[in-house]
Amino acid sequence: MTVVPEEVGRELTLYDVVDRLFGSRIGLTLNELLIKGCMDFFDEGQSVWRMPGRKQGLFRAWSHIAKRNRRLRMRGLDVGAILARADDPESMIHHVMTRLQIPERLWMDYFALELAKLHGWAGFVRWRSQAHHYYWQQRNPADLVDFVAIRLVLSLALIEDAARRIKRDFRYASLVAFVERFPHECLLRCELNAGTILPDYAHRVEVALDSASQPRIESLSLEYRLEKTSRESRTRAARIRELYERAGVSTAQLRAHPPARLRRLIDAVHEFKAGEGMVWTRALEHTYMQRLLARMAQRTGASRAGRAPSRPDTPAAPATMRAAEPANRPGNPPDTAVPDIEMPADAVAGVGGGPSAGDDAARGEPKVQTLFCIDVRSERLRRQMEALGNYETFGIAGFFGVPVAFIELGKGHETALCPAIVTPKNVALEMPHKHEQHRHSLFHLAHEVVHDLKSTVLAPYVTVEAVGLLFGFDMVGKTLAPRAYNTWRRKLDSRKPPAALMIDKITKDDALELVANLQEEMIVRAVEQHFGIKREAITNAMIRELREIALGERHGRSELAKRFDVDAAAEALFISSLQIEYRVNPDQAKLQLEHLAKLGFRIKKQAFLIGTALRSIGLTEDFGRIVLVVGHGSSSENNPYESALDCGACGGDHGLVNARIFAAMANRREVRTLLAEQGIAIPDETWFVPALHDTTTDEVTLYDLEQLPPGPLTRLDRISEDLRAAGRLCARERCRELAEPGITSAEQAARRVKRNALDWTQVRPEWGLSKNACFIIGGRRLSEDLDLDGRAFLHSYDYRLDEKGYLLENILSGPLVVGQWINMEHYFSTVDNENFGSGSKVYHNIVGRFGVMTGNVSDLRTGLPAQTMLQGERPYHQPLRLITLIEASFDHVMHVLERLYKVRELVENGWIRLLILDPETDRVSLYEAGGWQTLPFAPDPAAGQKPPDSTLERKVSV
Amino acid sequence: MTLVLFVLAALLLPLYPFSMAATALLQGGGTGGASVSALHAPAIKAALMLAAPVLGALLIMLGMSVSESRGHALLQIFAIWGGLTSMLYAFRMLSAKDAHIWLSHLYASALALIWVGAAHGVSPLLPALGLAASLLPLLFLLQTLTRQFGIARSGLYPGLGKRMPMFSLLFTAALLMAVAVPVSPGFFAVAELAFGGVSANELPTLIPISLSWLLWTWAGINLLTGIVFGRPREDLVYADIEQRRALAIGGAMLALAVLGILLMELVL
Repeated sequence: MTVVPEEVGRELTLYDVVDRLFGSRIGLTLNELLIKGCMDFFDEGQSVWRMPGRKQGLFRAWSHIAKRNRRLRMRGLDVGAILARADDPESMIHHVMTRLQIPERLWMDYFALELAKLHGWAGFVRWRSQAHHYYWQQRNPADLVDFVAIRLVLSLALIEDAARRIKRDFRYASLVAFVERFPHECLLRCELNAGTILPDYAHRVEVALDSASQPRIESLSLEYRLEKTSRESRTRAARIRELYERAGVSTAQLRAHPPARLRRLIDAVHEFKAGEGMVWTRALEHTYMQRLLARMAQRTGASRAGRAPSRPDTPAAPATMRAAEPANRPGNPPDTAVPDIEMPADAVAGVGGGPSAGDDAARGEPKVQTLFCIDVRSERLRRQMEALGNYETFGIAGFFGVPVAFIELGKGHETALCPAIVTPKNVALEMPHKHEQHRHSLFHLAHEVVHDLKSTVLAPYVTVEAVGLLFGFDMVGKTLAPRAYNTWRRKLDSRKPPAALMIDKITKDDALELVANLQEEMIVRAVEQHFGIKREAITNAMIRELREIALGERHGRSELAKRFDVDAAAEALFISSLQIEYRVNPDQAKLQLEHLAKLGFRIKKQAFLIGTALRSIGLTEDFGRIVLVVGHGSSSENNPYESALDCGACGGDHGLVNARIFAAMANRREVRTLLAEQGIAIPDETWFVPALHDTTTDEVTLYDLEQLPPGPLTRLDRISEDLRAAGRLCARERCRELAEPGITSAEQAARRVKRNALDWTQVRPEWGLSKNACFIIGGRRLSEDLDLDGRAFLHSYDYRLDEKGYLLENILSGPLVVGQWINMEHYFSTVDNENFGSGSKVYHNIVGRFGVMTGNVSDLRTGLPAQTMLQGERPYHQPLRLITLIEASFDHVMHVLERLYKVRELVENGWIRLLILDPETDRVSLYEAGGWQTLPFAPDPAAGQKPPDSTLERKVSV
Repeated sequence: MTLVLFVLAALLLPLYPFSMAATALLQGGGTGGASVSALHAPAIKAALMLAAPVLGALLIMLGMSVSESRGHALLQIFAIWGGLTSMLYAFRMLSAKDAHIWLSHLYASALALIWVGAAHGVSPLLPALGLAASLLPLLFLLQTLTRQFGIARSGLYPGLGKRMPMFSLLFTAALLMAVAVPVSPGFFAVAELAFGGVSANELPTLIPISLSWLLWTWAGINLLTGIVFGRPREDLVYADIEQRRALAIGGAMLALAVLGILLMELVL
């Protein structure tokens, strides 16, 4: 290990070279100083004392402070003098690069090096600079130019300080000259300072370097190089011997090879090392693909033998369900839907005597359809529900095709509930059922007081003495009895009042009236605050007049001024205050109207969204009386990574709001009328019911039941019971995966997972999307009897309804891309958790309410924590690239891929392993090594054996 | 005469610059390239480390018996000298990467504190014995490192905790004992020096003792971080300490802990 002149400026910054050669720690110090500056600037409300001047931007705010920073001066860093040379970041970058004599041809490489040093922070700054609607970016702007400028200023100060201390010139030209002139010294210095030196040489090297005698250094360097090579060769030879012994070849046999052959062997093994990871990855992927296809072939082969193909998502008893179709159509009372056709044998095959969908269908139990998110965690619940009763399940991206920005009751900001690649154009608002004065409970009030006391400068000293013990009780309760304690705490918290979603567009007149009302409310407040005049003393006409004056629609003296003898100057001041402080002005009114225009969806748009979603999953006919729309979210305590466990398709939030909006739209008569015109006839008896699947506890809660008529409500009791039972069965599977000890029943498992969700010491409330492996786009019949072990994204798709491929195009460009992101995030977080993941949660600290650091100063952590990826020291997640299986004809998929450049790139560059299963020919094509290969699609005789890592086997008994 | 005896004692309970002899002796044989003489064998070093402070303490007591009033006056000066020496070496420990150098600095820093206690009426013999004895397990463990890697130095072979767990356990315990954590004899010796004298609680007594103690701990953590923690190197061969040797050193540390408690009983 040494420094090569060509690397300076391209692979290594100047201070990297100085650190390597002279053992200084400039890089570490620079990172620490920069991180502290960034923490101050980017803070989003965590700190009580805010950094001043943030509105000027990152570089200017930081330099304003740095110029006066005495600590920097005491450390010998002349930052103030450097900052005096330029005001703007661009000029500062130019100044530093020139002063360090870095050739201009290297500048871009050098900037890239600087940005990569703290890739978490740099990534955050870059994201922020492009998020134009992000509140904090609008308020305190920052970009990568600011970031690089600060890094360079600090690095210049640190390099110059080191140069003074070590008495050398560390500018580019001198440093490169030194490296070129003294390669032996550089080698020894690098080895010593990097900690890679042979330990028994360390002292001699140090003494030789201190002597500064070049002949001595050169002689030692040659000796050292020889010795190191010799030892490395011995180590390699020992490893080869070990490898052969493991392969059953004795050392004597190995030694019988001629030396040249042994050398080739050693070289080959070490060359292989570089590509070893890929070999294992491909082996894992092939094993998974083979097993998956074999099981699917077994499943579909069996189903084809027993019946003709039907709608792909029709579960185990499609033939019987088709027979029952007429009974479920409008006009036919559903209760009369008693099928008289025998159950196909495969519908109950392998069930092992437990209750099955087939039994229920045979008993004539009306079908319940459920729309789940494609998330891998839905697979378990879908499987268990299908096994319990006559449930037909579908997979669709968890935002249910409704991209929306949501304003929660009591919150002032919008949350985008859709995949990150989509920008929502519509806003949904939560409104209380009845208007009531907001009152704080005593508990809530005490909570706020204590919180405020904690946030002041001196109060914490007193607060600890006064109420510190309360926190002790809190800690004991949370730690020793998390379930009981948290349940009690939640009872104390004031609950959100029942609220409805406002999803319809408002008319222009309504919008104008709303804005006017808001402005008049502001005027009433302003009048009281400025003049102390109560509402009862002024008339509506006065208020309206003031509004018109503030909006510039009327001029002259107001009635209010005349009535209360307000002089002209005071009146002008008041009007100006109305316009500036209370924002009663034309610009604000225009802005408010623009915001209101985004509120809700027009009926046509609602019908379009519902129609597209239903068509994309192949549900265009044969509707059940109840269709559950199941969003999902997680629940955990003390977990900065909670949103990583929520719905990715909802932008890392719970999917309930989207489910509620979808159900509300689908239940609307006007929408159904428009859908019927498009060929999707939803019967009047069909009701869409929103629900939330808690992926930590596997509990499913139904919502908006008050909007249902009595008929469907009676059925929901039974459905709720089934959901609870399915949840308990899932909890049992979950406990097995979490290696929870002492779980003997499903009930016990359900209690344990509930505790995990409420336990603040739990670093792994659930495995989340760990172990995700494949994305299946096709009918449920492909996988319905298979236990996919919670590893498959399942998107329902019927290629027969998608002649032009638009629906597949939507699936590939949206859900698949998001699935691939998730897969890659897990992949990289597993293969190198320290660099691409975020390391152990145990050391994590939240910074500025926007990120996580390890310890008190570190790069912003990206990726997923070790507790999500690893079980002990071994990976729990298997790092596979997303195996994507599309059930459609080859030509159909190719036609769609031609239109999708991004997805095609993902496939061609090997980020996605694409399989196409042609249902007409039963031919499976795999894209590999730049071409398409055909894979066998036939049952594997060994497929009945459960693979060692779990996977594809159905479990039905509790 | 008293002055001569005290100066002789300053060689054995090392005060700067006389301390250079003691530190040079302790550093010898620790680095890969240096010649190893009989003096540098760990057993010899251990014997010298124990004998020197005992002799030094006896010389102080002899000096005091020759002329108590003059001795008392001289001790005040030697105490300041001792305090400064102790803090100087404790501070230098922070930058010492070579573990033998680190140990020699600790030896000098710890024994220099005897002067501080002696000036305030603390009998020097038992604290000197306690402080010196606490360093012995570490001395033997450093020898194990030197034999295996050619040098006992922080930062060259981190992550021993993963590759040599038994050694690392002993090393951590020995290092904590060396920096005088309870219940090592060193801890009771430091406590006796700080609070045993008539003039206990005086700032001139407490400042050097507490500051040195703090710096020892800080330097100890540095050494642990560079040797026990971190990611192990792939290019080195690791062999954990033999069980017999581990038992011997572990047993010795246990015995020292008991000795520490007895020492406290004796002093009290």
